[in-house]
Amino acid sequence: MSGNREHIKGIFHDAGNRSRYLLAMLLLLTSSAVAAAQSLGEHRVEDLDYGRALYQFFQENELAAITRLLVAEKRPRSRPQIDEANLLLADLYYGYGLYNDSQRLFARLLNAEVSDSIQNRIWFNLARLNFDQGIYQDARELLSRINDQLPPALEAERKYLLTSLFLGNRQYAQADDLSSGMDDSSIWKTYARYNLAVAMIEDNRYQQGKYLLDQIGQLEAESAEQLALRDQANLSLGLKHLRLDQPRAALESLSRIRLEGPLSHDALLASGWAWYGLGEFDKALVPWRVLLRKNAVDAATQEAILAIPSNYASSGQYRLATRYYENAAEQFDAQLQLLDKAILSIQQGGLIVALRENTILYDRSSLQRLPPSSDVTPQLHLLLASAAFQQEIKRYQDLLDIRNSLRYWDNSFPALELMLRERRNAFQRKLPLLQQTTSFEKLEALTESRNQFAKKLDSIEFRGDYLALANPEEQEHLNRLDRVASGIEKVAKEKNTSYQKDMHRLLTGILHWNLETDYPARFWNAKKQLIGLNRALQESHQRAASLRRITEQTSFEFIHFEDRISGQQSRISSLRKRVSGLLKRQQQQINRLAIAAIQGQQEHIVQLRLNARFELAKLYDKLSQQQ
Amino acid sequence: MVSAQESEDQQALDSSIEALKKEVLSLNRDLFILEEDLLFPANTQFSIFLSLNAGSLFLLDSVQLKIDDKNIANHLYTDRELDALRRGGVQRLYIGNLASGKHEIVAIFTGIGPGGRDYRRGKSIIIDKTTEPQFVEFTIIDDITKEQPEFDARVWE
Repeated sequence: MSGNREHIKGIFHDAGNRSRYLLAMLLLLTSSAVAAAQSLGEHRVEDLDYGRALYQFFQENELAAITRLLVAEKRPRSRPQIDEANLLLADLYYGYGLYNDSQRLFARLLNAEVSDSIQNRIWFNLARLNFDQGIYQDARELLSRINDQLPPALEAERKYLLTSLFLGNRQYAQADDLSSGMDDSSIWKTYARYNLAVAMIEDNRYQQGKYLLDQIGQLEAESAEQLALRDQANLSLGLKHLRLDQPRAALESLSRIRLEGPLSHDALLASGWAWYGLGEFDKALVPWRVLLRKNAVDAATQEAILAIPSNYASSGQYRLATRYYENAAEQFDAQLQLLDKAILSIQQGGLIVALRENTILYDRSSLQRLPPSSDVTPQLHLLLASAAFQQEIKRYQDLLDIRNSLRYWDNSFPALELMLRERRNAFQRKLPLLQQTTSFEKLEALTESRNQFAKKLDSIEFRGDYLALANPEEQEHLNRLDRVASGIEKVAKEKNTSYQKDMHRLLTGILHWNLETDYPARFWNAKKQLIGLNRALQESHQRAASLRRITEQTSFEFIHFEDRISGQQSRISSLRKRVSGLLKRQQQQINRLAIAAIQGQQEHIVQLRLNARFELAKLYDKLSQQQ
Repeated sequence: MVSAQESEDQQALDSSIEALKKEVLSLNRDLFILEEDLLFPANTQFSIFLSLNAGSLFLLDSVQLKIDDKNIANHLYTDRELDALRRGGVQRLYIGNLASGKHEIVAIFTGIGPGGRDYRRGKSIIIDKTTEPQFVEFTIIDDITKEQPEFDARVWE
């Protein structure tokens, strides 16, 4: 029987560890990024760059979201939501593992002039960072600075953090008051109430803790997260009842756990012990056999392998017990071989290949929820669910993302260079025409013509020379009148020309009269033409200057682009080498942790096999004595 | 049990990864700007964005974009993209080059409307492209009074 007690202690211990792992995993899934996302989605975006970053962020493309915000910083655009954008950037830095940059940005934001709402969110974010890093005093102090309601999702998380801080100080009444007032629909409330219940039970406040766990254990759960929490509450309560020798109450809680859920093995094992506690040995075998049929290599199954013969031995069925102990020893041998194979598979890269396949097949969030599919993952489910290992996987994914990003740029460079070459060629083709259009000689010749015209107008005005403004037809008339006057002069000695002279004088007079009287209007028109010419010339000068500027600027831009492109390829190539080295090291780190976890399991199984053989030896003795 | 050497190695690895991440972020920023500047010079640059305001009356399936009656982009939405839009994200549907002057931009939205019926609506806007980069945003809005989705378009200054 003492062996049984040891088993019971064993499953309690392991299940306790598992509970913490599970809770850690669940908490990881509702990390700051998700909570921040919910809150940010509640107001309309008025900043395109910020909106674009959010679009990437909500799809969990951290690298793309950060890059978008960094690009926006360099663009001379209006940023109506710059504080929100910076808040998001600081949060993203944190999620991306750039803790110092995150803290620095938060501190910078606090020193800037920001609205109360932004300031409260900064306090909250900083408090959360401190809480995550275990700096609880600072977290408490920062939370106390929040002087107004946060957006609903953040408000629920704020209360969750405060509840956790109260629990750390064993201030149960405050934790109860605060958490009971939280929004029922928020998952944070369930977390807060669960933690309160566990803390109270651990602090010998069993009745209060039991009441809370019972409530959570009977929740109408819909989401995967709620279902997991409900199972967790029922398992914790069931194990507590077992510890208190209340097997019937334990069965009630354990029966609420889903058979297809991640805690089903623990529930089956504990159910067996509950029946055993009630003295119902046959009924105890039912859940254990179900567990054995699942053939999993986990602590609950291993405990069940030993629990069955132990049960038979307790009820005096020594032959059956012997057979099952012999089977147990064989099963442990088989499990040890399986684990040896798993280690070999990890050493040969099996786990890494599975991680990579998951990266290709699934998005980030599902990668965190779904373990990679490989022959070693059944042996690693505890490790895969742990927050620390998830962090290692995330770092590996980050490195894969970086490698893809660098590959993209490496592949893009030929296209960028071609684009630059084509633009330069097109510009070179247009250059002669541009130079001709904007040449100084051409503009100088035009200016000279304008000056001569202006000088002529000045002279006409000074002399009142209305004849100079005669149009070509009038000029022709004047010339003809001159020729007629010469003709009259020639024939005047031989013939009376007084009539012709009178006619000539009359016609000349009319023409001069017309020209003289029309002179002001004609002079004004000429002046107007000069003004128009001045304007056109000024415009030509400006346009030529602008074109010359654009030509210089474009030439300069090409040089600038060349400078920006040159050196980048060597930068990329050096980064690619570094990322490749770091990927290898990170793979080794993941493999090392996985192998260590499996070796831990092996040690545990070796101990269990030893127990089985020891019990077998005892049984052989008993049987030989009987004979 | 993690040995002191392993812990030191782990810290060194963490620092190296952090340093690499910072460098890659800076490289990505520089190269994105370079790419945009080179492929879409400021004086001809033109972008089209899409956002949702509420978006409960219309489940977007796809969008088609036309400039001056010429098809320039089509996009079919995944659940994740729709979720990102619903939560306030803004999607850049198109970036390209456009000559100065007047142009007609048309977006045709296809999806499921009120009552679960197939729904197809177009929205157009005339823009006067200047020599500055120009941005047009299409927004799908819930008109609660009419129980119908509304489609809005605006030019960002």
